[in-house]
Amino acid sequence: MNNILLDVQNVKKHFPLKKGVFSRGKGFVKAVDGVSFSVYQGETFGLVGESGCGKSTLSRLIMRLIAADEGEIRFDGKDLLKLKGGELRRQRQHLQMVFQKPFESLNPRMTVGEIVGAPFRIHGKAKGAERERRVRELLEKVGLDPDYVNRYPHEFSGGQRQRIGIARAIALNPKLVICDEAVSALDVSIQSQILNLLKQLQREYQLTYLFISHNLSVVKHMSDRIAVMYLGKIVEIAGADELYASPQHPYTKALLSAIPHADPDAKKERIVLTGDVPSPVNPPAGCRFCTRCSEVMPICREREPALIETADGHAVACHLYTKE
Amino acid sequence: MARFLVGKLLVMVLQVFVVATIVFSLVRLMPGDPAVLVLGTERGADPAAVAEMRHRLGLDQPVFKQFAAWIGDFVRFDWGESIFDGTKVTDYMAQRLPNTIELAVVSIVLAALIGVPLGMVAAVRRGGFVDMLLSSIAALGISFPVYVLGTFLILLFSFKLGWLPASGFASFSDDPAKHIERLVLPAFTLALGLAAAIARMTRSSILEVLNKEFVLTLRAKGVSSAGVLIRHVFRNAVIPVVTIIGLQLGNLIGGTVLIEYLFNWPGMSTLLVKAISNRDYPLIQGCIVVMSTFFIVINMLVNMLYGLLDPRVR
Amino acid sequence: MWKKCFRNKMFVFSFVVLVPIVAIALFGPWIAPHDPLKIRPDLTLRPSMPGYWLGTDEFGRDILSRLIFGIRPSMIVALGSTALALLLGTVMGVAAGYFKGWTEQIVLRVIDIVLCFPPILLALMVVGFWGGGVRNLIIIIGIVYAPHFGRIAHSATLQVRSLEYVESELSLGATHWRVLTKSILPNVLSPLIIQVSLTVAAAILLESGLSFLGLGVVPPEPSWGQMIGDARGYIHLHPMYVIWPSLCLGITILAINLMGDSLRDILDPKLKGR
Repeated sequence: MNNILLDVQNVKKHFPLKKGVFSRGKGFVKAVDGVSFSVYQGETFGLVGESGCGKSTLSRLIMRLIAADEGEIRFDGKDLLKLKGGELRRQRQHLQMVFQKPFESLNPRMTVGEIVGAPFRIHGKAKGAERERRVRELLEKVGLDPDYVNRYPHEFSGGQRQRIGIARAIALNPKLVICDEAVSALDVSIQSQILNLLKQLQREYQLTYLFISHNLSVVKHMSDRIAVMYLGKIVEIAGADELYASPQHPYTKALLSAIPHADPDAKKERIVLTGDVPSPVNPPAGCRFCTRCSEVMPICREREPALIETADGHAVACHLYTKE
Repeated sequence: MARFLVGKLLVMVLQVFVVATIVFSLVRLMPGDPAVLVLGTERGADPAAVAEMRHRLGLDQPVFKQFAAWIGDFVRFDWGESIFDGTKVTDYMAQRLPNTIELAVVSIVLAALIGVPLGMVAAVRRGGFVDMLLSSIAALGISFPVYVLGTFLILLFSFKLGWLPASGFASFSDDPAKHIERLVLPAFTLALGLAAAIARMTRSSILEVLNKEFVLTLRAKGVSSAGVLIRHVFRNAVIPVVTIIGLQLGNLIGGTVLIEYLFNWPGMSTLLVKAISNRDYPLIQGCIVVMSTFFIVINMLVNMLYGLLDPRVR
Repeated sequence: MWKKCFRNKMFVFSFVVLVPIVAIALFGPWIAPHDPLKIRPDLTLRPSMPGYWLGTDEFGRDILSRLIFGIRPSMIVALGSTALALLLGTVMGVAAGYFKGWTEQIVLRVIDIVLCFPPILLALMVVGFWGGGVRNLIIIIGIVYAPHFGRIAHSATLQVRSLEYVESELSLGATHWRVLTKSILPNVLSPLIIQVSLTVAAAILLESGLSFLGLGVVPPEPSWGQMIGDARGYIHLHPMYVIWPSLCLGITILAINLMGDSLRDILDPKLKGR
């Protein structure tokens, strides 16, 4: 359980801004700007951040739906960014994704059976009756009636569609499943059902999860370790409990203070962030968070802090801790 | 704003150039030797005549040189002579173009004069007689080809009623009354189809204005719908007409071609049809280039007008 | 699907009109009372009479038979050119929208260039240089209307390709071919089908216009537009000669337009219903 399954090293993705008739680049949107982390086999690694922080871009970079500008992504020892054509396609069996929008992630013109059976078709792993059998098995596993194989997506509810999406993702027994805001579009009551399903499947199939969300409580519930992202960079990584018990980065602290607590008597100090969110096109020269940080120091505006390990398994990118 | 206009102008010039190039290359792309085709089967059997024609057409030069020479000629408006009777192509153009333009312009004006008021009435008395009539005529109008409509009008006004002549032409300077007499049917035929479309568009754009909140407020204050309309008449008349012209331009030119032929109106289209029957390639090229240029220019003008009227487009 | 169609009144009406027309087109040669090409100099320009129910034309040919035979070339040209335009336009438009980059630029420029010509001029130009006839008409009318399909296919593809189910197919490892055929094409079909009916009507109008000018279907093979063109010289002598083909043409096109409208009504709410 100790080997690294996914190793992301200094990945960058800059989107050029097009302006003018001749599409001359007038700057870049630095969606992902030097992100590094590792995911161990068997764990659930959470990635949390607000909209626009780059986590969706990151998931698509890992899945190679878009091309990275710089960096390395090693999956199971192989450098994903260097694979091409057939080899890349073969590798995809082991690396799957559950998408966010239940109403968009399933092809409206395909039956459920075809959708869940697609992985088998694409990789030639099962045909005819055998494929049908496995599709029905998968539907059962995710809690759906296998007799639904001939129905179309629009006949199902949001939660059921996510189950279909999950069935499709685990069809070929992948090693890593990226859950990109997999429950964000669902009603709260359904969310817990799906989360439980994910946990159950993880135990059964020995899956590794990269769990991406903007919702802190959900991330905490699911993850073993968590990384916090802000404007294209990772600002803190720690074990789930550790992060919530002793957050170090000011941004993390602010995020955590916004979580509603079940206990109405617990004293809560809301840290309200002031200042404007800098645009990802023109990030400040130093630390990205400096314009909103309550504990900003002069050095924060000049130099970017590096991600440094401050305790066992706990790393943070903040000048408050770099002097040590 | 200026950038927008200049940009459009450049695109326009480019398009005209591309069109002209395509038309030029077509003769070269045709099966068979252009010289033989031009001479016809009899004279084309004589090798000396063929060689001479090839030299005349400049076919013995390398293609690049031919093209360069052709561009030079094109820009200087030296478009060759008709194979049929030797008249300079540009002379033919000068002769025929004004007639076609006259027909087109008169038709458009007529269409606007008929269509806009009809559309207004249909909008103000929504669901009334005029409105229903308009919808049914419009449905029929797009289904019957324009020359069918023309033929029916000839049947009615020329044959049955004997009011107007079916064809023929008299130049305005020679005999103005006769000229107008012969202009009425063709212009009216073209105008009807256009008028229906303009009326529909006028109707919907007026309905849009009438439904806007500020109008409801005004009316609540006692201003009549007529009063509101008058203030907006210009906008409501011009925009639909311009829109329809833009949308229907292809059909309009097509219609002009057919109507000129039907009524024997001596315009560009009858020239083109005759040229095609005679395999008069220089003339065919000239006609196509001129008419396509018109198409491109008017499209561009409509575009520009829209840019002026609606800043969002820029 | 079919049930929905037949519940729509416009569809039923146009269907009822078009089915006999298509039937006549298919079975014409067996129904027509006379040979449409047979010249009878002694029977020119006769009004309706027994055996020649609609009268004869200037060559003594039976008008009714010519009407019946006249459907075929128009129908073949209209359907053939629409099919060509659909195929050409869809392939180009989908490729442009899916692969973007240079493909998109080239396709869009080509479309712009074809659209520089008013349809009839482009057709006349080609006919002028290559001659008329059914085969050439199919090709040129197909090319004239391909851009319309191309633009629709292009914008529909752009919309669809950014949807998550396309991403999911790609992330599963599907080849481009599979994504195009299973995810993109089925989901861009609706607007294209609506355009088909519009194009068929436009193609018939264009072909009949060309035949009217004498530059379309090659005589003596009959075509409705051509008959109208021939008849106009004889309006005073035999007005019905011009009226019959005009009515046939008008009603057919009206029916096609109505069918197109009804299809749009049927398909659109289904789209919105998603």
